[in-house]
Amino acid sequence: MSSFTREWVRQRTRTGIVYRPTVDLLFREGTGYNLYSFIVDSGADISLAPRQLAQRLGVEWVTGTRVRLSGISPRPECSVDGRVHTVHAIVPELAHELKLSICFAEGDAPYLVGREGFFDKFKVTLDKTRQRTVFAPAL
Amino acid sequence: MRQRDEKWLSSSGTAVLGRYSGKYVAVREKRIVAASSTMKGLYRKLDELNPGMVLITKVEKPALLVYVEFH
Repeated sequence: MSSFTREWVRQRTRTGIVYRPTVDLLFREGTGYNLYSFIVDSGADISLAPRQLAQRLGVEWVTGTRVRLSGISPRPECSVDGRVHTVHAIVPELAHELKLSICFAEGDAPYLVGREGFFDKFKVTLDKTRQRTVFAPAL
Repeated sequence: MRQRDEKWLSSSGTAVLGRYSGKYVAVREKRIVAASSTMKGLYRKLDELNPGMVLITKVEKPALLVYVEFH
């Protein structure tokens, strides 16, 4: 398995332009395949995606491990429900299949790839000075 | 195809990014083929259009991202 490099993706914020590391993952859905662009989040224990992706993959959302997701506010009404499932994803650059733990969350969830299942397989170098990420196979 | 599409979206002007801010979008051949504020809505449109394999991403709102916590 060889390494590959991805340029960071430009996104506009109120404080200016930021560049974010992403990786594309391929998922098999009912009628074919689709690619999803995930933000690489080395601080996330596991990956995150909207609930609808679970349904698309044929996963029965309610059977997963239940979690609550909250941000800075401790108020219960500011948290959302999620279910953790392990699913298969393909890294298209390498045609490599991974088993990923993903929390499929209710609401307006972003696509984040966290450490579990991904950082076990890849040594990930976030190179901000060059705005690129190098994914090398973990030994 | 997909790297071209992602690069195209990334290099799009602020007008394009602003228009789709906070939305889920499906990109194919340097064109946004469907967009919705929910994934349910995006899948509904994709099922109607049947455009083949697309790159799905979320154009984040113009805010800085921080982590969330699981309980």
